[in-house]
Amino acid sequence: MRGSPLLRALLAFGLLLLLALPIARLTRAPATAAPPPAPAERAPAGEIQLALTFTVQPTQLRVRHLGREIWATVPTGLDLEQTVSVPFPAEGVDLEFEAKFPAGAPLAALRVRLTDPTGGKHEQTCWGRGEIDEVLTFP
Amino acid sequence: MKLPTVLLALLFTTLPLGAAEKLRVSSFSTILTELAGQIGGERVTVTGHVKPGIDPHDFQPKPADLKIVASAQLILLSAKHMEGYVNKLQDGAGAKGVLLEVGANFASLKIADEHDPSRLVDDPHWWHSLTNMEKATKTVRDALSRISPEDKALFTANAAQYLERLDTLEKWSKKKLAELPRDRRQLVTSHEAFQYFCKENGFTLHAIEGVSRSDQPSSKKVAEIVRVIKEAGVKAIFPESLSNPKVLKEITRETGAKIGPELHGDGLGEGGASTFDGMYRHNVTAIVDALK
Repeated sequence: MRGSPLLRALLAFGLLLLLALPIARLTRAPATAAPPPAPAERAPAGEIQLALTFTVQPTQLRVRHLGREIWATVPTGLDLEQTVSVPFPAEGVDLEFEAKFPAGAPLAALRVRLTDPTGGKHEQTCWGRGEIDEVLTFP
Repeated sequence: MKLPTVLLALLFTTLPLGAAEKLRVSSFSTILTELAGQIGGERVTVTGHVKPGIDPHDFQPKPADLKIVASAQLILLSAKHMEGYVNKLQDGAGAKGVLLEVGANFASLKIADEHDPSRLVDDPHWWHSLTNMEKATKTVRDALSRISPEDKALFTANAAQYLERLDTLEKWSKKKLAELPRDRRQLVTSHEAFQYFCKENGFTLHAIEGVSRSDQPSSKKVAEIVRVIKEAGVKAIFPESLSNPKVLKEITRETGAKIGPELHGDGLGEGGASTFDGMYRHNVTAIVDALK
C-alpha cells in the first residue's frame, strides 16, 4: 500500500470517527428502568363507628390506624362511642387499641363493636391486666 | 474395703446414672436446632447438620452426619418432604434414636412439587407461622421429656420461656404489620417459602421461582408477576438470602419496583438472623418498611 503513514493514520482515525456514532447506539444500555409503579388506588376514607365497652374503667385510651393516632381520650365511664374516618378496604383494617388501667386493677376486658362504612357490624374482644395494647383486625 | 472401691462407690452414690451424660440430639433444620438447644438447655448436646446459609432443599447428609445420627437419641426433621433423605437416616445410618418429624401433623398449605409442578404437595416452610412454632415448641418439649423423664421439669420450664418469647414476638409483629395497609399486602419473593407467613398475616404471595431455587421461572410466570406488580402498585420485591437475583433485577427494570432487603426463607441466617426471633423480626421489618 502506498501513501505516507501519517495519511494512512488520519484515514483510519476518520473511519473510526464515522463508526463511533452507530457503535455507540448499538452498545448503549437498553431502555432505562421503568419509573416506580404508581400505587394502586386505595379504598376511600369512610366513616366507621366504634363502640367500646370496658369491664374496668381505663384512665387513658388511644386508638391508632397505620401508626397514626385517630382517637385519644380520658374515659369517664365503661362505654365509649366515636366516629372516625379511615379507609376500609375489602381486605380489612388493623386498629391498635391502647388502654391504661389504674394500679391494682383486675384483669380487664375490652369489647369493640365496629360498624363499617357499608353498615356491616363486626366485633372483637381483648383482655389485659394493667393495660391493653392489642392490634385488632376487622372484619 | 480398698480405697478405689470406696471412691467408686462414692461416685455412684453421689452421681445418678445418666446425670453427666447429655442427651444427644441430631437436627436437620436450623430452626429445630435452636428449639432443641433452648428447650434442652444444659441437658442436651445438639448437632445441627444443616448449617445457617445452607439450602435445606439441596442438602444431603454425608457419612460423617450419618455416624452422628447413628448414636443420637433424638433426630429432628422439619418433615413435609423437606428431608428427601429420611430413608438414609433410618436405613443407612441405622439410627436407633427417636426420629421425630416435627411438622408432620401441622395443617398443610399446598405447593407445586419441584419435580412435577402439576402435582401439589405439602409446603414444608411451616416455621413462618408463629402458631406452628408454638406447636413445634410443645412437640420438641414432649419428645425430650419422653426420652429423659427425669428432666421433664427443666424442659417444661425452658419451653415455657420460649413460648413467652414467641408471644412477645407475635405482639411486636402484629404492631409492626399494622403499619402496612391490608390492601398493600402483596409479597413478591424469589422462591415460594412464605405461604404460611402470608396466610397468617393477610398477604397474597407471588413467588417467582418454585419451591426450590433451582426451579427457573417460565416467561409466562414472569409476565404474570410483572402484571401484578404494575396493577397493585407493589413498591418492592424481595430476594432471599440464597437466591439468584438475576430474574428479580429484570422484573424491577420492567416494573420500576425496587429490590427490597433479602428475606430468610429456608431457615436461620447469620448475624441478627441467627436466632428465630431475629430472623422473624428481620423479615417483618424488611417487608413492612419496603412496602408501606
